[in-house]
Amino acid sequence: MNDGYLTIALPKGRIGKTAMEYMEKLGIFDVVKQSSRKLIFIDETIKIRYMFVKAVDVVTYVNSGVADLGVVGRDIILEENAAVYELLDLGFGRCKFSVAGFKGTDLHPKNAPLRVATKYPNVARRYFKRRNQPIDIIKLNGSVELGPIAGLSDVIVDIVETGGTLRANGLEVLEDMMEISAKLIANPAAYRFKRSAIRGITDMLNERVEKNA
Amino acid sequence: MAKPAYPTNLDFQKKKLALKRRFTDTVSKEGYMLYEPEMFEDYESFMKVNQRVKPSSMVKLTDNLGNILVLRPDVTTTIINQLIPRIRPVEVTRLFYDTEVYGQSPGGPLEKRSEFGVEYLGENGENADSNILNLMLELLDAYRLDYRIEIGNQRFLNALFEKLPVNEERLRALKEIITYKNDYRLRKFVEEESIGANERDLLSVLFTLEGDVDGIEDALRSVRLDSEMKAALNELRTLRNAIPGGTLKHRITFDLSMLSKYDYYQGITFQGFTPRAAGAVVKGGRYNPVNPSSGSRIPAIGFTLDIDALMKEVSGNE
Repeated sequence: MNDGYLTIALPKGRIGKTAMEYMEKLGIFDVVKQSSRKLIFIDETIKIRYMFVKAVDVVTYVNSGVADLGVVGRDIILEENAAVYELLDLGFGRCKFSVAGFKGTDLHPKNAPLRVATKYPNVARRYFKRRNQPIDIIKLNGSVELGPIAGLSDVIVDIVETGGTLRANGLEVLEDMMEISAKLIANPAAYRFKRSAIRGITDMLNERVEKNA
Repeated sequence: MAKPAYPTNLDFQKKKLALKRRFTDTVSKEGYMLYEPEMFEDYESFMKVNQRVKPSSMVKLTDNLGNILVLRPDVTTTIINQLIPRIRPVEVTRLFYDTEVYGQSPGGPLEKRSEFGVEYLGENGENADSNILNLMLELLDAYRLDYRIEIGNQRFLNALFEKLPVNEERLRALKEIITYKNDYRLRKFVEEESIGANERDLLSVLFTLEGDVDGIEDALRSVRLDSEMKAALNELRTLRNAIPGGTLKHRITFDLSMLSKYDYYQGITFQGFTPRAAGAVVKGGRYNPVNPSSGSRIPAIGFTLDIDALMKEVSGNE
C-alpha cells in the first residue's frame, strides 16, 4: 500500500509474539496500546501499520503488496513458493521440517507409493521427488500425527520443535529434512518505493538478532 | 446529444485500447515496426534458453505428432528462437509487439497477460541502451505515472558466476538466492562453497550494491574487479550520465545484484515498479542472442510493459 505508512504483516501465534517483543525493544511497537482483538494497529507517530493475520496468510499479504513487510516461518515461505524477498533470518522460531512415523517405517516401500500426510503438500512433494520416491499426498489441516495412527498414511511431513507431540503419540522422527526459522520478508515493489524505511528496520532487526545470537 | 452510456467493462476495453494506441503511436514515430510473435513455442527449446523458469508455471499442449508445446510465456524467447535465426545480423531492426503471454500460478488458474514491448536489434553500446531507456520513460510519462526504475548490468553478475567453482545445480540455487535478495542464504552459500577470497568479498557486499552509481563504486572499493566487471560498471555510469536530471533522479536507482529469472540477459537490465502493482510492470534489458547460422551474437535490447498492471495504475489515478 502506498499511503505514507509502512505496513507490516505479523502472524498470530508464537512467532508473531516474539516479533512484537523485538519490535517493541526497537521502539517501533507498543504492546500496551495494542488490544489483542484488533486486527489492525496503526502507530501514527512513526507511520507504521501492523496487520495481524493467520501465519499461512502472511506470505499472501506481502506477495500481493497489501503489506510491505512480513514476519513468517520459512516453512510457510517454502510451501507458498511466492516471489517475495527474504531479507533477514530473525533467528527465533527455530525448528525442523521432518519426516515422522512409527519407529522402523520403511521410507522406500517396494510395492506402493509412500503415503504422506501433511499440511505442506508442496514441500513434501519437492522433497521426495528429489529422492525419486513416489508418494501419495494426503493433505490435512491439523493433528497430522493422527495420520499414521489411524492408518491414513505411512508417514507425516511436519515441522518439529521438541518432538513432544510425536512422542506422546508413539511416533518419532525418521528423517530430518531442513532447518526452519522466522524470516523477514518484503514485497519487491515496496522495496523500491520504501527502500530507506525497509532498510532501516531490517538493519535494526539485524543488530538485535546478532546481539541475541 | 448525450453520449451513450457504456457498460463498465466496455469502458475499460476502450481505455485499454486508447493506452495501447498511444504506445503504438509513440514507438511508430521512433521507427518501430509491428512484430507478431508465434503463439506456440517448442517446449524443449524454450527450456534450453530458460533453465530457471518453472515448468509448472507454463501452459503446455501437444500437437498431433506428440510434440510438447508451450503457449508463449515470454516474447523475447520467441524472438531468440524464431526470429533471430531468420534475420540478417548487420541491419538495425526496431520492432514492437502488442500481444498476449500465457502462464499459470501454482495451483491457480491459467492466466493471460497483455504485454506491449519493443526490441532494438543490430546495435550495441550506450547509444542503443539510452535510446531504449528514454523510450521506456516516455511511455511511462505519457500517463504521468509514479514509478521507480531500477537498472542493473547482467554482465557484472555473469562475470562473477564464471569465476565460481560450483556445479550447475548450485549455480541455479545461487541465482535463486540472489533473485530474492536472500541475505542469510547467500552468507550460508559462501560458507559452504570453497570460493576464492575475492569472489567471497564480492558476494558479501552484493546486496549493498544498490542506490546510485557512486555509492556502488564506494562499496566495491575493497574488491578487485576484473576487466569484464569494470566494463559493466562503466556501462552503468555511462547510462547514468545520459539520464536527464530533475525528478527523474529519485525515480531511477541502480542495482548490480538485480537478476531476472530469464537467463538470456547479457548487459544492461531494467525493472520498473508502480505503487499499485505487486511485481515489476516493466522488465527488460540487453540479451544479444546468438545467430545459429553465423554463430555470432546479434546486439539486441528491449523491454516489455505489463499492460494489465498499467491499466490498474492508470484507472486508479483518475
